[in-house]
Amino acid sequence: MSVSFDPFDTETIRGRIAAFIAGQGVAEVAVGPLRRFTVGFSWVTFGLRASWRDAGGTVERDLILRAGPPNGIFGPYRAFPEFTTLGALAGSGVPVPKVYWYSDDTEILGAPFFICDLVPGDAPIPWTHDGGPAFDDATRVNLGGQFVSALAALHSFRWQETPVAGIGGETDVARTAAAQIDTWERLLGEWSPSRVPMLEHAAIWLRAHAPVAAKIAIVHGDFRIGNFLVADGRITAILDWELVQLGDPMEDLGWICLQAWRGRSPYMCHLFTREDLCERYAALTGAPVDLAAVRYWEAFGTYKLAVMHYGATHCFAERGFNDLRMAGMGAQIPRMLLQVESAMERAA
Amino acid sequence: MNIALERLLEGIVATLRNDVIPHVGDAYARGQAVGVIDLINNIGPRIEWARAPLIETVGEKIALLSAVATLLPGVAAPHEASAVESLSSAELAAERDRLDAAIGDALALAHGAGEEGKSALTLIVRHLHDEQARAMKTTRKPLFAEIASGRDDKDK
Repeated sequence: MSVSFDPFDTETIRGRIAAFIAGQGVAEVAVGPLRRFTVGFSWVTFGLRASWRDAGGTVERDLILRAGPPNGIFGPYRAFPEFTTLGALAGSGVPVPKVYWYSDDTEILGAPFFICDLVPGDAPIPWTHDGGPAFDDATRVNLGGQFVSALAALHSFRWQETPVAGIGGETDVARTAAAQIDTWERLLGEWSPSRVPMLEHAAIWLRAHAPVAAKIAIVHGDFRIGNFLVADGRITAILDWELVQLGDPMEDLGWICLQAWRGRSPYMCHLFTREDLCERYAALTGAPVDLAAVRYWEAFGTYKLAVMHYGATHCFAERGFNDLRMAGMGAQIPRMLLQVESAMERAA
Repeated sequence: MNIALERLLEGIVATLRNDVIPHVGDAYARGQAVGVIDLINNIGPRIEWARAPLIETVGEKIALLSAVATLLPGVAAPHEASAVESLSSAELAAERDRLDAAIGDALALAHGAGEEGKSALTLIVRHLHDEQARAMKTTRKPLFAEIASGRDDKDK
């Protein structure tokens, strides 16, 4: 029997999650009411309080349930890559929530899901009411330092002997950029009913200029302002790992530099200049940063973000996803295509 | 905007019905929101995407392909632009998409032709830029800050 996922039917989800947790080798499971968070454009996020008893005694936690809806922007989803990466990074220099359980079996909830700790903090967003700076200088410097440290720790993480080796991605340093272009070109083909010559032009250019990666690392895939939590001046968690994969770590640096994450601020992700980012990252990782490669990956990232806008449009237009933010992204496609062109010109 | 108008209006109505109205506490405000749905339902059958910009876009694409055909062997000259003026908005959008496919093919040819393709490539890239620059004239600044925070800009 096929189980359908209705994010508004929180009582049904609560019952199913309680039954699922009870099947994970713990006893006396109690799950409180679910409250839905409005954050995120893709996965559906709920907060809940749960308790259970395991070998160590009774546990009571505030948890997050993240579910990838079948009609969501990147559906069909898999929870395995995000869950596995978060589990492997526990205790590393990357602040991540503790993960408990996951399932990619859609017969349980009607959607892949995982459960992790609720981490305290607020998520600063890239969009400000006047397009200006998101932070005062002291906050910017403080958060910027922690942000780069987390990224350097992620890219220095030795994933080879961990389950992260199975999360996917191209590990051939000469092929990893081309594989990313292939992926997003395929997605564009699925999401856009008509051809998009500007993006075809970009894909040809990106293929012709694809760099060879200096190394393969865990690439977050959406490492930016908006995807970390801050409490009392400290970054408490890096979030939204749904695009995580193995690849060229420079992809994350390029993504940080996207125009979309800074508005009219001169600072990448409202945090630092491009040069400052690269210098700090190089000092922390001990590896020099090729500025040309960062510019290339910024162009690729802008291409990828433009394709995501087609994904959002498709979600709304064809998959019955009524979130008007998706239609709103569709309205911004001209702006995105011009940003792709500018980013290519800067990288050329 | 590349979403069918009918689907766009249907989505707006569904969002008001399911996500907004159930959470509006004030009866008058709730009634006004239902009034928005009532108006959308009545406006829907009377409107279509504006034809004038679509005719202009299609005309420019035909002109581009005609010029590129003189520069690049393998690119066929399209039909006359005057043939499109009697088309409906939906037919014009389909024609625009058909021409975009031809432009994509010409683009690939130009890239593969090396020096010989450069003039054609320059024309195509300029057209793609101009098309989006013109679209920006009707693209309003996104309200992402307000959407994400749920607060009116004036609250700041």
